[in-house]
Amino acid sequence: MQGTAVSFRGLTKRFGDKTAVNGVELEIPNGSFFGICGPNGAGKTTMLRMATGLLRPDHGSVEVAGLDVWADPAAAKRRFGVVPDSPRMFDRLTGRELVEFNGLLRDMDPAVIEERSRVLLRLLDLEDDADTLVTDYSLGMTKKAAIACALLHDPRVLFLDEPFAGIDPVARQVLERILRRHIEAGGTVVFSDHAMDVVERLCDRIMVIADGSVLVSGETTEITEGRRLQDVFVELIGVPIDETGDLTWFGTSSD
Amino acid sequence: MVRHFVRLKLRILANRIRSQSIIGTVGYFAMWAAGLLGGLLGGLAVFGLGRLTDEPGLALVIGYVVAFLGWMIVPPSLSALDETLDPRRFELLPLTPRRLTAGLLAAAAVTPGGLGTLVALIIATVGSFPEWQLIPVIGLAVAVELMMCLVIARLVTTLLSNLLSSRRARELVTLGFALVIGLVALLPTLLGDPDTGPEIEVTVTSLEWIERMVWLPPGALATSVGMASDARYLESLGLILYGTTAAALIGLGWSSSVRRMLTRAPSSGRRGRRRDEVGRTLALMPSWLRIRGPVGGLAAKELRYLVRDNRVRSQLIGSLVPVVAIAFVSRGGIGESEFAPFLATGIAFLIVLGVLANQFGFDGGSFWAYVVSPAPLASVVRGKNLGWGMVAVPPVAVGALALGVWSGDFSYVAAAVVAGVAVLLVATAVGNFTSIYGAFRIPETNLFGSKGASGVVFFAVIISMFASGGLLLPLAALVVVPTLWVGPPGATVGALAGLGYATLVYLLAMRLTGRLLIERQQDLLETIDKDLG
Repeated sequence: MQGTAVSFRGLTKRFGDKTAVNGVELEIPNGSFFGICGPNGAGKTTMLRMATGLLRPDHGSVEVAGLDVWADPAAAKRRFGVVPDSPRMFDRLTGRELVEFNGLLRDMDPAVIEERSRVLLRLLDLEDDADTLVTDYSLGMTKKAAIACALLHDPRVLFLDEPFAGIDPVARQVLERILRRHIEAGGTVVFSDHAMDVVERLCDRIMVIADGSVLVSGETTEITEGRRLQDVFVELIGVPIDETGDLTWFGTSSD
Repeated sequence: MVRHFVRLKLRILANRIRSQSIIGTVGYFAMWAAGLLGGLLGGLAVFGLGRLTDEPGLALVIGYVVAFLGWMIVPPSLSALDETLDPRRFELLPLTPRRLTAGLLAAAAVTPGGLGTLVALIIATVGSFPEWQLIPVIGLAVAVELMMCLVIARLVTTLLSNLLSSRRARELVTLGFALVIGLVALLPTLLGDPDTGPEIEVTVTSLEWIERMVWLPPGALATSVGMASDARYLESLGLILYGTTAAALIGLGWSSSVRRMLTRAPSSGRRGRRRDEVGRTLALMPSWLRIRGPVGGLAAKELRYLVRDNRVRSQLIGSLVPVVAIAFVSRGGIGESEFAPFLATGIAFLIVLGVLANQFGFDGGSFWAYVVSPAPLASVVRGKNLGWGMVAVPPVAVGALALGVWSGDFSYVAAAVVAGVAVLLVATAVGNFTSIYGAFRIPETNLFGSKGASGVVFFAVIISMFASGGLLLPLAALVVVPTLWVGPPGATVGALAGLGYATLVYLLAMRLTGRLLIERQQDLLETIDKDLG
């Protein structure tokens, strides 16, 4: 399937004196597995929040699946799913109830909700804990519940902010499979992560952002040119040769 | 869609009961019972006021306006306890502002306050105008008034959330709360006993003032029932339409503020790069006054939190307001007597009551830092107490002095300050114990963070208040008896003796709480884990 899944046009956000995202222009084609990389505070989360209708940009616009997110946020949210870095959830619901209410509040058919939530909870290994309150979930389980909620309505585009952080290797593999299947079915995945090996392995397209500006964007193979993404990233961002020189006192304690 | 919000709320309520210990469940039902009882008493009070004054229409106007003001002021302080009222929980869902606000409104109605208000409005309105043919008008007036109360509460809460993460706005709310207290306290005077000569003039003026409230939307709704009772149906309908329009406008404002709230960045409540005033102030202190070591560090941290944490600041102001309100409204009473400075002891009591009964709730996550640091855990409590002592003593001293100025008699200022410090020590001792013991004994619904445990926290604060009250009785006796005997010198001596007693109570409590803190450290970490996880 051709066409554009997500497009950012001159996207800008400032917090006081700091420009978190600076005029980002970007087109993400349909069917892409798109990774956003950048150091801490680069603007990745801000960009994703603006793309998903959670943070109003100062300038620019975002289109997802052909809809202007800020012109009609409710309509746009029907076409994408989001897993934020720290999801706000109803933690006094059980995992099963959380997913079901998520579907009901999306106006989905109860029979469809029941069928899909059963499958998702099983795939994400939450079946045994489906009747446990979310407040009693571990961080990883909470994230899995958020992922189930994001997938329930079968969105065209998935936005995930560090989806693999805090989840176990088995769940990680399952999530990777789910995301790949989503891509095969013509969907698009946009996610941010610090783990360069994960980004390199999964993504066919990447973007590196620092200080709110896009340093590089394009196909992964073109950007890495056979090198490790980790090395390319460090080269792009730049790193002090030796900042540990001031730690002369470190490791000298005799206690 | 609205029914899904109500179902969601009911499901969360049911799960909360399921997950709480028996004490938490009892506390939770107690809150609903209190809502119902409050509604009954409120409704009967308005009904009784109308009977006593032979002005049921005006009494109903007051009732409707007070209910409206109450909803405007109280829920913003409590809304954090109800996750179904937080629009941000729905931010990922494809809900239009109209659908979201309708749903949130429905969820807001399913609360002890909603139930109490409904009961109060029905009793007050039917009691004031017990005529069966008025049932449609009463139904409309009650429904619109309840909707207006719910909508204004949501509007104010959302606006406060939009404003600097609600810091200054919460402080304004607290001041507004004083107005309501003042209004309630002045009600007997406003509609007072016509036989007491000097107050007749006030009563007449006040009645005129109350009559003006008829033109406020809640007042108009109340008046619509009276109009219908006088067979002035067209005017009645007009007033209901006026009230409904006002409610709709407030609803529109709320919907718009929800939309803004959902699309702005969260804020810590600090503006720009404001420098650390507390750090500067501490740096100016002479070095011999600075307390070093873990206790001093903890105290300094608490003072920094005072600057940075909105809730702490609003609680501090909230502690001052009732005392000031009592001083102002008790005309001819203690507020104007030579004993007025003693009201300042209430400041110490309220500061501690509001904060220390749940002192770790403000920074449960910091407990990690305490545990991994080499500082003894007892120092953590001492440091927190010292920090709060440094916060509480100046308002007590200034309050006593100000009340001396207000009453024109300074004889008891010194005794009041000493007694205030003694009250602070006793209430701190109880607050420490409640906070730590409560967290230990009911870890499933811990006081740390108070997440989903509003019933337990409510219970803990009430128990803490009664325990403090009981332990303060000997202190009161030590001050009151010599005061009655030899006046101000006796009060000072009594207050000093009371300070000795309070110090003993504090030291004993510190021993107990310090030991408990070490014994059950693991439980604490587990409860904090849950809140952080």
